[in-house]
Amino acid sequence: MGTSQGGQNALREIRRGVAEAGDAQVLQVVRMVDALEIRGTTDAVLVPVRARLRAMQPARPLRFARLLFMPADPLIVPPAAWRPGGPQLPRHAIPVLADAVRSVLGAVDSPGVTRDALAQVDSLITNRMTSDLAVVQRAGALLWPLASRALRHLAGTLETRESAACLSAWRDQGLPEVELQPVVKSLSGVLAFALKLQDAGRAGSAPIASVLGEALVEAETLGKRATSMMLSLWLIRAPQTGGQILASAPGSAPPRQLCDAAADAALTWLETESGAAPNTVTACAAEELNRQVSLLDALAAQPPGSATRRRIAQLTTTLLDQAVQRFDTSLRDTVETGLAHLPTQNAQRNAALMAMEEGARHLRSFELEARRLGGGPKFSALVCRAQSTLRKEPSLSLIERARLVELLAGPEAALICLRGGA
Amino acid sequence: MPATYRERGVAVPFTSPVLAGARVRLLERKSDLIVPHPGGARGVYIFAMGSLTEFCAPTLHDVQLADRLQGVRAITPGSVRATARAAALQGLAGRDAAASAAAADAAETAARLGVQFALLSSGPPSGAGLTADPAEGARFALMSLASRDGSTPGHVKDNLDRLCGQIVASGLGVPCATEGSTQAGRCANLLRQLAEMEQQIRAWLGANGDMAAASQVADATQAIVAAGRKVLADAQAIIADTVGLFSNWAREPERLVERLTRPDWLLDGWENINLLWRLAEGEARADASAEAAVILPPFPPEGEGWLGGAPGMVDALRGRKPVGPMQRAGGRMPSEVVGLVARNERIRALSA
Repeated sequence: MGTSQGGQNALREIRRGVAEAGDAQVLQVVRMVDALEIRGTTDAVLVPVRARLRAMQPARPLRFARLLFMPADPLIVPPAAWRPGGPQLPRHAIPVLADAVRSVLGAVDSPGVTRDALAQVDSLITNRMTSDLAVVQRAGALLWPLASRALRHLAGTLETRESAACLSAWRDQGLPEVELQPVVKSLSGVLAFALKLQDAGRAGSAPIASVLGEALVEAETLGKRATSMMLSLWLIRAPQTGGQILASAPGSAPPRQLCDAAADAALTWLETESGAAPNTVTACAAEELNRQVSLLDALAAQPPGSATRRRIAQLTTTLLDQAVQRFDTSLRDTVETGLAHLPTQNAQRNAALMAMEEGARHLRSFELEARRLGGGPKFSALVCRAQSTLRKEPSLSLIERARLVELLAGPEAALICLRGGA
Repeated sequence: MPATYRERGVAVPFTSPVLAGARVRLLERKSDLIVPHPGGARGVYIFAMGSLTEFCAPTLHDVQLADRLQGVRAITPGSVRATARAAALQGLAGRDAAASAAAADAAETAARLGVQFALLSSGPPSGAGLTADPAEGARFALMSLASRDGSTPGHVKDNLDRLCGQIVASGLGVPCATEGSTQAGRCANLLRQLAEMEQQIRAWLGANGDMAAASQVADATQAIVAAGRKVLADAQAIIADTVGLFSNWAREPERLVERLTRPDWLLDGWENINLLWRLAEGEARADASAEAAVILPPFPPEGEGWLGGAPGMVDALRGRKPVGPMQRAGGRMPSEVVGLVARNERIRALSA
């Protein structure tokens, strides 16, 4: 890929700068890169902050490739981290496979794969962002099943002239030729079950375990890679059910080797996520932490002797330390800083107190999830400190104090606060 | 199945998720709480109101509300609503709920005046015509009533205040007011919203495939709307007959109140279901309808008498079967209860 030595040095410098930049500056860079018509190697400046971007979840333009790979997103890894044969997808395979899918959808007119549908997807996503969730849902529901069929078609024609361009582009990215077919087939399986994976377990939808069973039967027809890829995604999306499958008795579960590969990929995803955790407790922090802790629980329940044990223990410690730190920082921001800047004018004061209450709710949700990692006394001490601050705050009425204590520490602490009158 | 509405109890707007669909009833001077199984399984928990904190760890708002309810002598939808408003005014269910409770109190005061004026101007009981000046007309009507009953205008005025207070507290509005206006009364507006909700659920079912819980909620809503309209029309006919209304209020006030409060009893618990649905968006509607199916209010045989000659409605209201335990994706998160309390506080803020 034609980048001169000077160009590479400049790119390295920019990447270093982006890696050290604050969140706001990173978002500015993302907007600049996203605004480019042809991104080419410019995309590489985002490499050091990809994990952070995953946590920050900025709205990005809803491009064809981005939409196509959304169901497999947790398994996408940087080229350097990708290991051939594993259930992960190398990031540099994305443009190759997206072009190949477009090419098949644009060329073949069969009942299941039509050019009209491609035009419909394009029209739905034009000028839309990833934050347009309804559009993502509609366009995804249209694209993913079609793309799954297109990838099956591609897998069946890889050795023909029809797919020569795909093979050539794959090689150009430095990807091993032998990897193309298993990756194409696995992705086809993932996309075939993308919608069911989303809906499984919701009221009115099929139970998770039955959809997972169905997915694994389908994966078996697509090869071992597809099975471990599907298992990894289910572990990440629905850790409890995924974990049960992994821990099933021999004979009823997929082969141990595939389960280990899936667990390894899920753990890698978790390590990447934990490496990019924000410093504060955001609105969705509790939900994210719940998923992470449930995944750790599911992985820890695997048969003894698994090579992942040490990584799980290390990750548990890392997540707990981060959680305590994040909780402490946000608690200070919400309570101490919040009280110090409490306006005196009624309307502004009400708005500030409501914001404090909302922050307290997020903190409580986060703490309840974080306690599953351990560290109970640490969290209790932090909450006690905040309660003590609230009780001493003269500008709060008794009801205001009790309510904030309830949101932060639960109703029993609040009742003591209310009955004690302070 | 309890035989009467009083035995069934009145829905209490608690904010603790575990108390969803809870009802309070007063039997032999003791307040009991009846709580549906939170997972949707058959059967209910029944315990003394004073044991609430032994049953669960309720929110501070719920502790205060339960304390207040223990002091209420007559448990009716109106008295529970008034008690819940007083509890919300404290602020323990959030600032929005407190503001909403204050606004609802003010709206009821205004509605009482509206009903008073409408009753007096709908035609003086003596049969004489009104003057062009409404205030003068009202004074004339009061004097006519007083002279007919051998009472004083002041006494009649007090009596009228109580009657109008009862009409408004029962969710009945100004006779002939436009549906959807604040004057139409809470019951009429709730029925309109429930009819909309039923249509929305059916449209949602059409787009998302069949789901037992949502179908059941839609069917029950259709039946309660039909039943509610009939019972409300009966109550409104009583109010429209001003002569009979004043006369019955003087002679048999308890009997009159029993008939005027039927719509309120019949619709008790449905506002919560309506708001559960309204607050759920997109995919959350499946969970909301599953939750609503668990807390659909029971329909006691007493209600059958109110709907005389409408067996279809009765069958639809009584023929409900348990929908079975609710499914949840990956079980409930430990923190989920925090979000549900916040959602329930929003429901409190939107409740009338």
